[in-house]
Amino acid sequence: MNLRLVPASSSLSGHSPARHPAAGQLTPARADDQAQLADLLSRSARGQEDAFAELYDATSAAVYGLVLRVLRAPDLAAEVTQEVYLEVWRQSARYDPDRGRVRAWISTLAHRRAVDRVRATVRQTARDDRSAQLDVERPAADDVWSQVDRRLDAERVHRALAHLTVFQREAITLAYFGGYTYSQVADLLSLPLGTVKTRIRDGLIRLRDALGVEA
Amino acid sequence: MHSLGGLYATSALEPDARDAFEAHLDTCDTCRIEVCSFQETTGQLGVLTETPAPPALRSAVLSAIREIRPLAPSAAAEHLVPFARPTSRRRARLLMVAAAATLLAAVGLGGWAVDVASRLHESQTAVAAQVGVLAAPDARVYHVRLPDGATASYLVSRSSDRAAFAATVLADPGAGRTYQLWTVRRSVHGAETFVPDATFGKRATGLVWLHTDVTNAAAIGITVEPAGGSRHPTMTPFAVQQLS
Repeated sequence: MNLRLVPASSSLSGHSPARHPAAGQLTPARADDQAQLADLLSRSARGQEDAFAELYDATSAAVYGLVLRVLRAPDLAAEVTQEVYLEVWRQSARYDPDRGRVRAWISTLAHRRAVDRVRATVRQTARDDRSAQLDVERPAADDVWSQVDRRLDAERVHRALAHLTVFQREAITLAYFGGYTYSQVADLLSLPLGTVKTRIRDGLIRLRDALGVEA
Repeated sequence: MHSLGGLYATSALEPDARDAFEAHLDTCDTCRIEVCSFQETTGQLGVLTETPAPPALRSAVLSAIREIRPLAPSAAAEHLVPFARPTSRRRARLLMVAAAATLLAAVGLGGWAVDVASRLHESQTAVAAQVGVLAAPDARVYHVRLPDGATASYLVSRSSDRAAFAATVLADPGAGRTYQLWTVRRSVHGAETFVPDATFGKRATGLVWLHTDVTNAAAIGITVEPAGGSRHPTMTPFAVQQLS
């Protein structure tokens, strides 16, 4: 198990990941969070703007942070974040709890929008020197994981990430936070496409299991 | 195909592969469940990058939703991807019209109008309008770029107060959604007002004519809106062209 990306917090350093078997279970706090957000969403669907404002307050840091991470431009990130929330408002009646938690639903939408935007933007700029451009923009995996605050949720996710190999983390980082397609990830890492596909999928399976997400 | 769930959940698939996999998801419970669990997983990665949004964004969002009516619940099965995106993922298969100017040069003015008419089965009046715009001394063709990188064109004559959007094949704007053209009025103080104009779907192959005031418009743009169109844009307009 690679140690480089394990959280620096010394309180955790004495534990192996295996000693946190309950790390990902739906704690009462997280169940409450889902129930509360689902309620805010259904009230939004009935046109209650104050409920939507609460939903925004509870989720906007996650949405904006993710979009900003992918786009790397605060003005673009604000624009895309606004589009995301207008869609959430419009589609609020169509959220289906069987398909996942509210936070996952919103994150999926935000991530897709951010990635679509970054690819559209890249397409509009010169792509002649694609490899050089990718090198410049290539995010450091450590950079992403090191900006973690000390909140329990983040520590939980960190502990789960420790279950991944460094190669799996790297591939997931480039795809999810870098917004690269998997052929670009393969270029960046000088790996065959199939290897990248396997690393991302196996990494997500490990992460999912460590987080206690039910498959 | 079964091994693509991870790439799909990290939005790492190219548009064509994304299309193909979404079609597969409709028929494969195993993959659908796996993708769901992966989306739940990546959703939790968000705690690592949380950043307070700019305070101005909150008021912008809350003020914008007052103009938008939430959709009714849909009985139709929704895709895992929660929203229809304004630009189709089928972009790679799309063929936007080559610039109108190119057509003009290639087939000549009359030939182009006839070609448009035969493709669209438009009335003689519409053909006459096209010829009128094209013949106007200030007729201009503006090339614009769509969000998916494809190009399209506006044909504009401010002196004859006519303008059209040109595309041969368009991406599906999504179920219950439509494209909408807007003209932009700019006050002397620089304040911009978006005036709703024609709506059109993916089958609007050919010219889409604007019906609002073009002579005094500062710009033209496009959005994707709920079916029937909106009175105010619900998203940032794309393919915005300043008129000069």
